[in-house]
Amino acid sequence: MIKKTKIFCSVFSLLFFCNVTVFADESLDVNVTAVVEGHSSSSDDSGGGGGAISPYVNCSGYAYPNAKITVEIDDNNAGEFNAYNDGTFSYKIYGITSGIHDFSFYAKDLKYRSSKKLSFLLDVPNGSITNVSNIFISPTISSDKLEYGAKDKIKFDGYSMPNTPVYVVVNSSDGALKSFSKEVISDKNGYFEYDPTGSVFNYGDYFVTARALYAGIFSAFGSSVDFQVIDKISLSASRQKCSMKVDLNKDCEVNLLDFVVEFMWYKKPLTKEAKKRFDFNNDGKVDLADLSIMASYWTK
Amino acid sequence: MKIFMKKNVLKFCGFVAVFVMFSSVAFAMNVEVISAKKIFSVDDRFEVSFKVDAQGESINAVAGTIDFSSDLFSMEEIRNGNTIVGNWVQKPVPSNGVFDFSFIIPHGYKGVLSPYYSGYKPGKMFSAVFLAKKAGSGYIKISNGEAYLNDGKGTKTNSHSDTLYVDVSDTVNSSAKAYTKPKSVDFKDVLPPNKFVVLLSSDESISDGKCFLAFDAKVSGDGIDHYEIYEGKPNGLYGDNWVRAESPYVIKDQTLSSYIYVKAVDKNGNSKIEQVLPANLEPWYTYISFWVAIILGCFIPFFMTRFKFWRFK
Repeated sequence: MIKKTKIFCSVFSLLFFCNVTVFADESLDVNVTAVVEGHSSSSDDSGGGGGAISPYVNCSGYAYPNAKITVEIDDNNAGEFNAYNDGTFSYKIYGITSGIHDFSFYAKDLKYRSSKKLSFLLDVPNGSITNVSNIFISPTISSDKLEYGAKDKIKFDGYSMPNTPVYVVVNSSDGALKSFSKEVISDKNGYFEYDPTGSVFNYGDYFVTARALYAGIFSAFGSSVDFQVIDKISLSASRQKCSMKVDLNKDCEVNLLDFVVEFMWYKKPLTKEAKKRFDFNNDGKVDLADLSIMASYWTK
Repeated sequence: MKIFMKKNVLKFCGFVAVFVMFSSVAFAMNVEVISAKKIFSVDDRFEVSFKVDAQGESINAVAGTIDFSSDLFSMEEIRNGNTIVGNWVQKPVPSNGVFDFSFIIPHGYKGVLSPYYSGYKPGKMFSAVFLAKKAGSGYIKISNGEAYLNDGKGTKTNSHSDTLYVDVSDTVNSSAKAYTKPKSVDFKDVLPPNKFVVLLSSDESISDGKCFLAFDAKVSGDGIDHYEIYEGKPNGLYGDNWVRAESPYVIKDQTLSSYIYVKAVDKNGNSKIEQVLPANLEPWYTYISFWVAIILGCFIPFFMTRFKFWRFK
């Protein structure tokens, strides 16, 4: 009986561990309402409703104080604007045709670090003013070094909404080591720091990411920062900017150019060099799984 | 009796275990196959929409085969405007008899937001116009469906497709016939394709490192019909120098000294042109217009003074 209980416990703890390490990628709580000409807010499921006005979208949400926010529609730049002093923003996007569009928002903080893109598909009805609120841009975060010795002091910092709890999560890249998270509070400028002094880092690869909580809403996890704990400090070239394997032309963007180059090898026999460059999941072929990996890291 | 009871309890437990196991297998993608009507007459055309329900997951790549009773229906047209598709990997083309399709959705897809409902709803990946050839009962569905999670690992997830059952009768049903006219017949879409991305690059994988263009346009109507490209000086833009092209397109002028224009033409003939400026502009003295301007600039004042002089004389 005792033996059975032990087995149960070990299975349970394994499941619990898995739950901790899996991040909710897109916790999007975006509210969408519309004012259609001649109507108030509508709940008609047909997506119809039409008037003479050309549609526009009224966006509002949360970023960081004075952050420079960029909005893209179907990968085209649709506007740049600054967030207010309190970190909130609102912006009207004109010149949109009705129909389904891919909206993306990202912010640059005062240290010119870009946030992870927040994207969603929105069906813009004809002849209406669509209000999209609660667009919560995830915090930025970076470390002061790329590699550390085991006894070196590590510091992570970033920007979020001011006076807001930010949850910084440190995880090992291969999932073998224990992950942990820490709550820090951003200051009045939205700046936060995280110093994991006292945390025991074994040698290995780690990544750190953060999400914020404001007005009862969680942002999605932001971009992750890789770092490595080794026995001596030395910057590794492989960890420099634009090192992502899916960024085939190394221009720091994952976009249509990388897609068409990858597509050239889609379901085709691979040379040794091509296998190294284009087979992202190392299964010996370039198929939809590889394109899916590329789509996950798409920037523009 | 005891043994009988024990056996029954074991059977029941086994059944419950199997039920619990299978009920926990959720499909991360369900394809909804939707038609406004399910009963048609011979020679009717009807539009069927294929919508993706991501069932709360975030997916970013989808593939499948359009499977239907080919003895009863023929597929006449694919409409891929106003859809969730980010970039086609394989477009379904009815003309060659192969109906496989695949595409990616950059940034991931959970559903489509709209002011007319709360939360996510399934979005259209494309619609197909079918022609009812003969009477009978048939089906339309997506087979060999594949979906991949937006997790950066290319994880394949379960998929499922609804089946649309359609009846075709010999009798002419006028109301169905009126309904099933293709949308483009009912009203003309006059909206041009949206502004689109045209990128210039080179890679050893494409024509031994020659410069190429990559482009992809979105459209809100029935979809993109084709692309055309013109390379040259802007004054030739309105001639018939345009050539049909597909992305990626290896440009002719590898010196990058020409203007490049890419025209996206939708299925209703509306078009949108995007321009790529030359990376290496030709020197000013190669432009004829410059020399014409110089000559006119010199000779017009000369003739003006002569004309004035002649008048006063």
